[in-house]
Amino acid sequence: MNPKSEFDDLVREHQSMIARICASYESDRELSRELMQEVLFAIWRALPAHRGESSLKTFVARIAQFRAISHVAKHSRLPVEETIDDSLLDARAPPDAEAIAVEERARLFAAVRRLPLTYREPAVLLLEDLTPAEIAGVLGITPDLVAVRLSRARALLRSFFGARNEG
Amino acid sequence: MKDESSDWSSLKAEWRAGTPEDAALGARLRASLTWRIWASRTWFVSELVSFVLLGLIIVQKFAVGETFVGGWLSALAAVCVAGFVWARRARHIGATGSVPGMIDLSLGRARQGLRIVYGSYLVIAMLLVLALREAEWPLDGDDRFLARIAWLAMSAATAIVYHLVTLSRLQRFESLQRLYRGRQS
Repeated sequence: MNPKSEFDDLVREHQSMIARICASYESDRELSRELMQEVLFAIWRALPAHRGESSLKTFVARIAQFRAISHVAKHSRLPVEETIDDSLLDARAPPDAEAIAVEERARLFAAVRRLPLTYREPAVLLLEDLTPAEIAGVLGITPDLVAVRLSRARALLRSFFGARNEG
Repeated sequence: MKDESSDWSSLKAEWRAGTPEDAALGARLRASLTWRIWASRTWFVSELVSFVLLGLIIVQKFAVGETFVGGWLSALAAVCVAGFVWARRARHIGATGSVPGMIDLSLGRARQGLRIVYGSYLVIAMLLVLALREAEWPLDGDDRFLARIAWLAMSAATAIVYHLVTLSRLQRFESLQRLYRGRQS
């Protein structure tokens, strides 16, 4: 396949996942776009070396994850406390049920960003539908440890939502 | 456990229901990436052209009997070619198996980058000695010497910038490596 068209197809297919991974590490909209471009450029550079040992989705997720944590480290914001990021709420807010869904989604992103990095990484990859084995491969840890971290991530997310609902 | 997996299922549905950005973003980023990709290719071609020019200068130096200068320039060309090949291998980082593997590799490359910077300082110092040795004293009107010094100053400034960037990368990846090693269990 033509490398250019392979890259374009890959961007089309996975751009939503890349955008979500970037947004789960960077709340600032402009910086998130910058990070997304870094990820896309890194994928373009690495694509010729992809030998098919893992699926393209895992390959993309791994590069996005690496670039994201590198970006966070660069900006010295390892794990931070987050409030709800209003930029995630569409300025042209749709009415009623859809507006509630948009707000809920923004809350979910904000809650995920509040997770310490240890729990955020497997949680984001699970939310992107990677299997525990794939997550273990990406993070270089055992599937058992993935399960433990996911369980703690879920408990933390529950507590975040619980605290918010009580507030 | 079942409760937990159903929790994740509902979160997945919510998570993937949409992206925080508008749908056109991917197309816009892809378009702006085109410029970056072409800039990268242009840089690649300019590096190749520089090597060809450097090769021609070396041949010319040997042809007119300036074997000492030709030898020095050959050594410089060898260092530059090694750096060029090394830099082009960077793309393999993305294909490494896991995130910790990528961090280790990036850290290794940052350390190699530092060694290359030290090598560059050495080459620049040696070329400075060569330029001083070949200068026609007093220096009044020795344009060739001034051009060489200007070129060396530019090279040194570039090496210093690269040195600072590499140091910053090294610190960043060392902190990430510590973070990952500290939570492997």
